[in-house]
Amino acid sequence: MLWCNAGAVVRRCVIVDDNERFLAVARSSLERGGLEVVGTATTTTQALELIGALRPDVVLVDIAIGTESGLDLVHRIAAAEAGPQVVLISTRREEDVAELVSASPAAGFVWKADLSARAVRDVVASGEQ
Amino acid sequence: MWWRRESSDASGFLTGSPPRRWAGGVFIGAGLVVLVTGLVAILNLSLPPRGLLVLYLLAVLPVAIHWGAGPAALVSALSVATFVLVIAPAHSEGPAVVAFAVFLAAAFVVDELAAGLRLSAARSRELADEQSALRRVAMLAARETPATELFEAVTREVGLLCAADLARLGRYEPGGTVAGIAAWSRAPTRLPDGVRIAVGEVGVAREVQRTGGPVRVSDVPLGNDEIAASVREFGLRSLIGCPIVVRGEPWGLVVVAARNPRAFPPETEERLLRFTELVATAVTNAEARAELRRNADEQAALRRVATLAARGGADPSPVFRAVADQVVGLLGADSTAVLRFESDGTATYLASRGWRDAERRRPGARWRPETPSVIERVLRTGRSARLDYTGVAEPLEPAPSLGGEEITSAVASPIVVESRLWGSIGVASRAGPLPPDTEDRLVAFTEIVATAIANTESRAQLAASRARVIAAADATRRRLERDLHDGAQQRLVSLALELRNVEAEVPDELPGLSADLSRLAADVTTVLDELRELSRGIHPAILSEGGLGPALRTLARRSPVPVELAVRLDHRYDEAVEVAAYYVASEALTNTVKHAQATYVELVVEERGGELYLLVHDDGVGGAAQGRGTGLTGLYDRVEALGGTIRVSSPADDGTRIEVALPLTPR
Repeated sequence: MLWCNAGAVVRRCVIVDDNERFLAVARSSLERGGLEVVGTATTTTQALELIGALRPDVVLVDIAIGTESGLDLVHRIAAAEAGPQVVLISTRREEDVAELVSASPAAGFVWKADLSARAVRDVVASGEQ
Repeated sequence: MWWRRESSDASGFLTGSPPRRWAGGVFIGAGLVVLVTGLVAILNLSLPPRGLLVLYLLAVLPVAIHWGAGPAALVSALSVATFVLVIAPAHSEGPAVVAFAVFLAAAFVVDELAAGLRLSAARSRELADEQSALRRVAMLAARETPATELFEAVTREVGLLCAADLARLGRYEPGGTVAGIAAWSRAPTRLPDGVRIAVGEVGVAREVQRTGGPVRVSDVPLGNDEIAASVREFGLRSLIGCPIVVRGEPWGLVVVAARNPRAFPPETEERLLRFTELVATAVTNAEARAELRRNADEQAALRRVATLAARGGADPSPVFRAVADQVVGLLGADSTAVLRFESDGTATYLASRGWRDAERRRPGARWRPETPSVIERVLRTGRSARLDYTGVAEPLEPAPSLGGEEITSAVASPIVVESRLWGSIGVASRAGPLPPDTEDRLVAFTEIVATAIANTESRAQLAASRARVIAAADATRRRLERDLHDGAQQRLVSLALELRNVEAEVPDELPGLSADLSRLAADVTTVLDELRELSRGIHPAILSEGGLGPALRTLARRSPVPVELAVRLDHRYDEAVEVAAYYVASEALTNTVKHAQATYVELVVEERGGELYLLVHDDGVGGAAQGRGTGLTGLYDRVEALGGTIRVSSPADDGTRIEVALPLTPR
């Protein structure tokens, strides 16, 4: 990840989730912490377009995007060259999805109720170590 | 009894030529006359001579008894002459003539009496011979001697008893022939045996069959058949045939023949009838025994097939094969086929036996029933059908599919499953018509096949509906879990996050509000945790999202008893299979934790020969039993609904081992 070196500041972010209300709440929560939400997507296709166009530092992906699998999306983002970091999010607790997270190329996981700019940065940082 | 021995000795003389008989009688008579004359000469010394003349009866009577009245008359004349010339005083011619007349009369009377005695002795001997011959035959019959041996014995006994030169036993066959099945001849010679002879060419056999009674022929018709040939060879002049009547029908006949045109006395027919009655009884008995044995065999075969049908699993084809095997043996058929009717008017072979062209009738082969064929008739009428290709008034031309099979007769019966015509069982023979009861006996088999099919179908339907019920329940639980997740959980998560946002916005001068908001957020998190527990119990989301491997790993990680997990799967499977496997593992783990006091659990899941294999094995106290209120019953239900197998072994103090195999359809 050429432009996203270790220690690079995580500033721009895209959220992929099919719940509009959560998107709104998450946006205000993240931006309060200094993480700019440059875009939000509710489908896999939309997300890939956004990521290609906006080149965010990090993408937050819900494990279940409606009927689509967030995990598939993570694989597709990771498959692209010079892609952004990915953090999985879910309403489920970490211990319920740990198997899925560790098997995916995502940097880590944040429970939706605990979402904050700081939590995202911590996960990205730990993922880079 | 002196006369019996005497008469038997004398019979040699009697049956000898007349000159020899006369010579013998006269010679012995002369000797006796000499002896009596000597006796009379001695007695004459003390007794008056006239009274002594009567002593000459001692010479006359034995000759009359042994050699008959003729020689006795000569001996009488000799006696009187000797007496007159040697012993008597002069002028005794008058009394001598009287004595001669008395002697003659005595000779004739005694001769008659002796002849009567001889005759009745001979009769009684013949009767005794006949009785012992009948007894021997009856004993053979009672001892269940093989039929050929019994028939050979009958021809031998009859031939000897009737003083015949040839005796044969034949059996009437359908189609107007008679088969020789036993023969005896006085002269050692090989007789054609087992040869089918046209009845029409043998007057005796034909007449016996026509009249149903004994027939005597003294002028043997000469034809080209085997009997006529043997008749010529033996120079036979008289023949008697007697019917063997079984159940009111001529079954066969016994024929005796002799060179002598007057060989058989009038009572011979009666005598033969006593033997043919015995043979008829033996045949009836043997047939009854055979029928009984056949019935027993048939019952046993039906029981075997029925057991197989009752035990039957999802696949009824072993029943078809067993039926084909049993039908051929039991119904005396040469070949058989079990067929299923298809909706397009064709029939599929399910099992077949005994066909020359077996490839055409291999299981799974299709065939469009031709006209004429018994299967086509069953398909058209829904009833049993029969076709005879030979031995009938208007023989049929076999259908092309029977080409080269040389079938002479065929019978088929319908397989009716729950009042719909499902298929047919057909049998065929290459040796004449199939017995008339074939249809009835075939029905017993078609009924079993129908039951087996109905069982299989209802079992399949039952399993399918069980699987549907479980799948529907699973779908409902999954939807519930998803609704919870997408609805309440999602909203509560947003609410918790929003509360934190609001809390962050609260000015520092309102610490009470900030604390309230923080407590609210914590409450929402607690509710979320409770909801999570609830939804986890409803349906493990990770199973639908991550598959069996991640789901089992999550299960293993959460288990209070250490789990040694081995997951060897490389793709996802049908949801029902994944859920069932997960459910089994989860239930088994719960049981282990609750009851087993185990220190570890081994959990293995892998794909094995088209099946998903799952093993849960703990080192606990064992003794888990189905129906003890454990979750084991539910496991059986789930696994069996998918057509899988489950084996639970849980000996006391030796852990519990649950093995499950689920048939796979890879997704």
